[in-house]
Amino acid sequence: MKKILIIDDEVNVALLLSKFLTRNGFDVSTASSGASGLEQLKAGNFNLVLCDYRLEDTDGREMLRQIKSNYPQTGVIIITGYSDIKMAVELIKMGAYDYITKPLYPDEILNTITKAIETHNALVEGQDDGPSASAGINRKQTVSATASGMVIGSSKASKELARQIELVAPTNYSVIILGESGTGKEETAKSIHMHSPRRNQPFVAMDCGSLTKELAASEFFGHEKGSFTGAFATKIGHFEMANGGTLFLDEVGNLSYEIQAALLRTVQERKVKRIGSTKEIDLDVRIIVATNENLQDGIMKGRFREDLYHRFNEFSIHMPPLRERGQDIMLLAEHFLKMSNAELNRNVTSFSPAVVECFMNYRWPGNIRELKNIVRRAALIAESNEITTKALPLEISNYKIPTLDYSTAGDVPEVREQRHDLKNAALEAEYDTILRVLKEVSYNKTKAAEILKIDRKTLYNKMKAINLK
Amino acid sequence: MPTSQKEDPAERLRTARHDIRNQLSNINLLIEQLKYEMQNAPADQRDCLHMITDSIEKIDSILKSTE
Repeated sequence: MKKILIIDDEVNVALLLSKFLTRNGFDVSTASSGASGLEQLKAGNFNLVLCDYRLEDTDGREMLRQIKSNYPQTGVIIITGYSDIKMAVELIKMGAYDYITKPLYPDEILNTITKAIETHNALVEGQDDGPSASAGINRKQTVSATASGMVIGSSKASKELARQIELVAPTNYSVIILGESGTGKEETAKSIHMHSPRRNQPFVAMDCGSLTKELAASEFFGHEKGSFTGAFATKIGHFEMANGGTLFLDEVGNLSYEIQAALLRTVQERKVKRIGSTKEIDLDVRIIVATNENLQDGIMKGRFREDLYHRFNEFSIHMPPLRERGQDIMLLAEHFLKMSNAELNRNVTSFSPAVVECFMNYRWPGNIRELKNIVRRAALIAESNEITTKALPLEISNYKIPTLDYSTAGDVPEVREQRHDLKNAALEAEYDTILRVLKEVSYNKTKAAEILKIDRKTLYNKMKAINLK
Repeated sequence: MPTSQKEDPAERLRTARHDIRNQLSNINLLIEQLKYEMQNAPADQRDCLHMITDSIEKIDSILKSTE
């Protein structure tokens, strides 16, 4: 049974909440002050803390800080009577799972709690064995299922991934995460951060794919008020925001050459200067970058600086595409089904055998993200408590065709193995998929990118890389 | 002369909103408890509870309009 601690100095609220949550299957304890809340936290492993922002002896921010530093794996939801967006953002940045404003509505609370527990689920599972969450074995268990469920799975590929994360997390190495879109690169980066000594410091994620050349510098380094037209206020850059913690740069291959040069200087010297300022700020930031393209290819073509690549590449992790994780597909699908049930308040319990077959044969170009979306959609439109092929989007049935093509060449699993061995298998598969989708949508690239669940720029880059015009 | 927080009408309104929302939470949770205890009560009694919830939502939207 999941354990929840309610900290609220309004005794009635705490009592009623506790009754309500107990009825809904949680093991609930209450505390009426910050101090007694911390005392209770010492005694038991709680999955989740619901904490009122205004307490007599302290406040929600301080409680959050203490809980996150002493019990990083316990989820925290802050309840408050003020609806203040700035405060909400700050609390979430500090590690709160969510922020509920009063008046409380029981259904809403239950929904938020269920989601929070789903997210933190695996993180606390490991704790059940004992309080020493930092011990090697426990750590392995916690890694094996982080937030989105990306690492859970029993396939060889996912076990290897978990091993690599465990290996590199405690070090200060920069890491490159390579993998197709939707394979869970950001989740892996988060997981590395959560298992590093920096876990109580900020984790700042930045999508370099969506940065314009002009904005990139100020996003990275920040700027002083008035340093250029439009700089109305001082802005803190992402490097500074992540100081002490981890900075995650997604789609790093999309950065312009000029920004790469500026980035190299910052990474080398570990110092940052806001635009328009003369003051240098010392940095202690671990950098994790992710890309879905072959950076070495970019280097050969002069699009990516080699020196920067070597700065980043102290360790690299390859994210396996979903189609290579065979037995994990259904495991993940069931995990997402449970999440969707909780989210949509439905009770869909299984997939029909035809759906299982579809899932196993499909190529999942959008990987785990695509699987998650498809399961969520199916859970919503399923007419009974079983998901049938009727609830699957058309693109899945369209994808049956290439699978049949392959199966004419022999048994499907065998072909999979062969492809696995071939150096260019991934590239070939991409080529096939992109070409087919493009044909389907009469070469409308925006539509193709949508179906492929990648952004348009990535599609252009891929088309260029495989000489498609 | 700087006004102290207590004299500032905006701050007073903010605190009042906060305290009212606290009490509304309380009522919401009480309704939930009553709904549970009155599962076998006649439908019109249970309807009363729904009406109270509606009123709470209205009060909250009035509070929001003062933000």
